[in-house]
This record gives sequence, structure tokens and C-alpha cells, in this order.
Amino acid sequence: MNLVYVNCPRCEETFYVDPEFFEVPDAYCHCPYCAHEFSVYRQRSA
Amino acid sequence: MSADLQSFLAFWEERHPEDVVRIAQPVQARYQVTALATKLEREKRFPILVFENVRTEAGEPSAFPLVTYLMSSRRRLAELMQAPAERLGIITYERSHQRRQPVVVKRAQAPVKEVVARGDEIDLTKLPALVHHDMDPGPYISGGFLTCYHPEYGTDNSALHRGWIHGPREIRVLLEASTHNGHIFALHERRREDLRVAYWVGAHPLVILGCETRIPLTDSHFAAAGGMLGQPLRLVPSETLGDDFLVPADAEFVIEGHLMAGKRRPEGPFGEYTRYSGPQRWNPYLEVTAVTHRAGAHWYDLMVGHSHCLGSLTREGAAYEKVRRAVPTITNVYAPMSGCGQFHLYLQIDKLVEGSSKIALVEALTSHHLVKHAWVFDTDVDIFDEQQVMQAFATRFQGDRDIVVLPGLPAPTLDPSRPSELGTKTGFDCTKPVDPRRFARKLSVPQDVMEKIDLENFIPRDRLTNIPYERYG
Ligand SMILES: [Zn+2]
Repeated sequence: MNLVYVNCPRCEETFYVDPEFFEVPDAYCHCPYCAHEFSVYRQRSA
Repeated sequence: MSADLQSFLAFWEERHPEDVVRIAQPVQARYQVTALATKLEREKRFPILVFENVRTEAGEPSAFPLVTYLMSSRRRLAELMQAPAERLGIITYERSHQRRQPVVVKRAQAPVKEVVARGDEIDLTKLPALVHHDMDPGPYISGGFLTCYHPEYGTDNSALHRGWIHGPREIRVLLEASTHNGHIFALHERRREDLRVAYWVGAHPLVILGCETRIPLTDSHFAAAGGMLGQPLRLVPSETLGDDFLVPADAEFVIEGHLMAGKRRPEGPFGEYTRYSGPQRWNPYLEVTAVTHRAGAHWYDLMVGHSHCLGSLTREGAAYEKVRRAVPTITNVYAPMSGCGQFHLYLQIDKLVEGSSKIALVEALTSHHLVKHAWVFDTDVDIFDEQQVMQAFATRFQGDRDIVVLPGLPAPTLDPSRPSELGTKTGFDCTKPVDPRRFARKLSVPQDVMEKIDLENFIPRDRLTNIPYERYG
């Protein structure tokens, strides 16, 4: 399963997303815990 | 008999009152129903659960009862199909080839039209849809069939697709490109057209079994459901998708709308059949145009990530058929829940020819992309008893000699161990040599002695039940 863990910048909870969120410019993540929406585009560390 | 969820519940409750549990106590849609189902599953009990007082994610009491665990008992489905539980996959598969063309009824004859909401009247947050597991972002449609029509063939396609209820009129849908519905959506997106779709929720268990059957894109799922049910499915024109868009008239709920072409929103994470959460994805969403339901409709939930027979029966039937063409002496097959009901197959063959067991493995492993591991056993192994399965694996299998490895084949998307799109399928030949003189004899006590010894003559039943049960046997 292709997944990357992310931290919500608002509530700091951890969840995971498909790597496509790091590659698609207009894709944004939705925190399942606090509903905060944020971009991780090109943020993936090597 | 009317073929719908509530008439089935009434029929079954009269016949087996012990197998339908109605819970009047208030429960929260968020986690509580899943917690209760999890505890029952640990006890290996799968009654149909009817929750009559569910508090929605918004904290309000829902007007609709919730039904779950409907498809979780192999015993129950076997009785319904008038089949032995051990043959259920094979018999379901055989019956899945039958077709009954659906009939179209007028709106007045369709219970699902008893209540109709359009536009601003629609509020999906009033449904008792569950938030099943930690990390799920909100309430999900888990047991709803998503139906659309192929633009060229005109055939209906129905499949279970998870849908996150995101607000009063939006549903975000997992629609993988490899699925038939995903393919039909792609055809529309290429023409920049939204796709007309309807979720329908709550049906007779045989309709659910029939619709879940894997069939070609040119075949009607509604006709397959009728074949499984033994009577035609009743369809009715939609409210907002045109009269040519037909939906099941006897469903509990129908949710109509459009999958928006070229648009994506985050969907998931969601606890899946693998008993792991799948990652959040950038998925299409549905703008809802109408919700219709029965007066007193029951919401239906499929307890994903817990025992249910939908995938396993399909895996068993398809594998049996494919293996049988090459190895006619296959006697049975089982897709156990320990393999998520999908990844593992236990085959049983009457081995007459050396090597036929390995052929059976290759056929079973390639019977579906979700099958990852297969084991083959002799007829003296009860493949429904995992103690016997593991015992035969321990004593009849050698890693260098009895293994079949098929690397570089499409792997299940939701398998957490999947290295890439391609994975490895592995088969384990746990059969003895054909010549019995080349293998040790299994322990046995002479049959006449076994038959004459009655345990309760030596240890009375009440004394027996007081002896501690050993988990680590
Ligand atoms: Zn958050």
C-alpha cells in the first residue's frame, strides 16, 4: 500500500495519504480529526 | 414474498428470533456500533443487528434504524440459499450465472418513492451512517451499491463503492480506475461530461449477493441479482436523472446525483476489508440531486474490516470453477476470514496424479488479482478447520519442493505489504504423495472404539462445562 504519513498543522494529529498529494498541485489533504485542509505539494523529503 | 430488506428481516425474525437482535438503547454512529460489532465478532457471533436509536455524527437521533451484520454469517446465507455452508461459494457461483431480466414499475408501486427530497430538502447528515474506525474522516456509505449506465452498451453496472458523506449533499467516492464504474466514469470524463449515478442502500441479502457478482461490462447486474433472487428485480425511473435511469424500486434508500467530471477532493482514510486503514486519496465526488426512501426506511451498513461473506464467496466460486477445468478432482475451496476473505484460498483435492496439486495452485492463484496465497490439501483435511490446515502445512510441506512462486503479477491495492503495483503470488502444496506407501500414517483410534466411547458417560455434561476452556490448545 502506497502511503505517506502527514501531521496536521492545526491539531498535530497524524494520518496518512496517497503520495499523489505530494505530486498534484491543486490536491490538498483533509485532516480526519479536525477537518483542517492543507497542501503538502512538493513537501515530501527525499 | 416481497424481496426487500425489511420483509426479509420480518421473515427471518419469525423463523429465527435468536438470529435478529434489536437494540433500542441509544448508540453513537461514531465508533460505538463498530465497538459492539467487534465484541460480538470476538465471540464469533454474527446475528443481524438492528439499531433502533442511532445518534448521528451531528449528535441528533436519526429517524432511521440501522441494520448491520446482515451478510456476516455464512450459516445464515447458506440456509437462505438452501445450501450446505461448506458448499456456499460454489453454489453461489453457479447461481450467479442465472439471469432474470428486471421489470419496470410505476412510481406509485415503488416503496422507495414514498418519501422524496430534492434540492435544499436533502440532508444526508440525518442518515445513521457510521464512522466505523479511528482515522475515518466521517460517516460513510459502506453497503451501498453505486449504479451507472454504460454509454454505449446501455447496461447497468452496480458495485459497492465506499462513499464519505461530506455535508448535506456531497459524497466523496473511492472509484478506482480498474473498476467497471471507474471505467465508465473515465469514458465520460474524456468527453468532459458528468456521470449520472445513484447509490442504493438496503436490499434483500440475495440481491446484495447477486449484484456483487463479477460479470462482464456488457452484462446487467440487475439481471444477475434477479437470477440470484429467483425473481425479477423491480426497477423504477429516477427522480432527477431521467426516466431512462432506472433504480431498484424495493431499496430502502436511493441517492441520486452526478459524479463531477474532472474534479477531485480528498477522500479517506478509511478502514478497509484488510483490517487496515487505506490512505486518503484524491477522488471524485458526487453532487446529490435527490434522495428517495421508504416511509420507515432502514439504513444498511456493511461492517467493512470485520467478517462478512461478500468477497469470500465470490473468490471461492471463481477459483473452484477455474481449478476444476484443469483438475477435475477438486472437492472444495475456502476463502477464510483470516485471509481477509480475499487473499487466501484453501483448496481440497482428491489427488490422483502427481503434480496436479501444483496445477491447482497456479489456477487458483490466477483466478483473481486479489488472491495472494493458496494452499492445497488432501481430502482428509477439513479446510474449514484452521487447526487441521496448519497441521497439514506443518507436516506435508517442504519449502524447496512444494512451493509455487509467481512474481510480477498485479497485487491487491490495499495490501499493506504490496511493494509496488506488482506483487508475488505464492502457492503451498500440502498434499501427500499419491502412493500412500510413500508417506506416514496419520494417528487414529480404531473407529469402532471411537464410536462406542461416549464422553458424557465418563464425565457428565455439567462437570464437563466446568472444566476450563484452553485457549492455547
Ligand atoms: Zn487536524
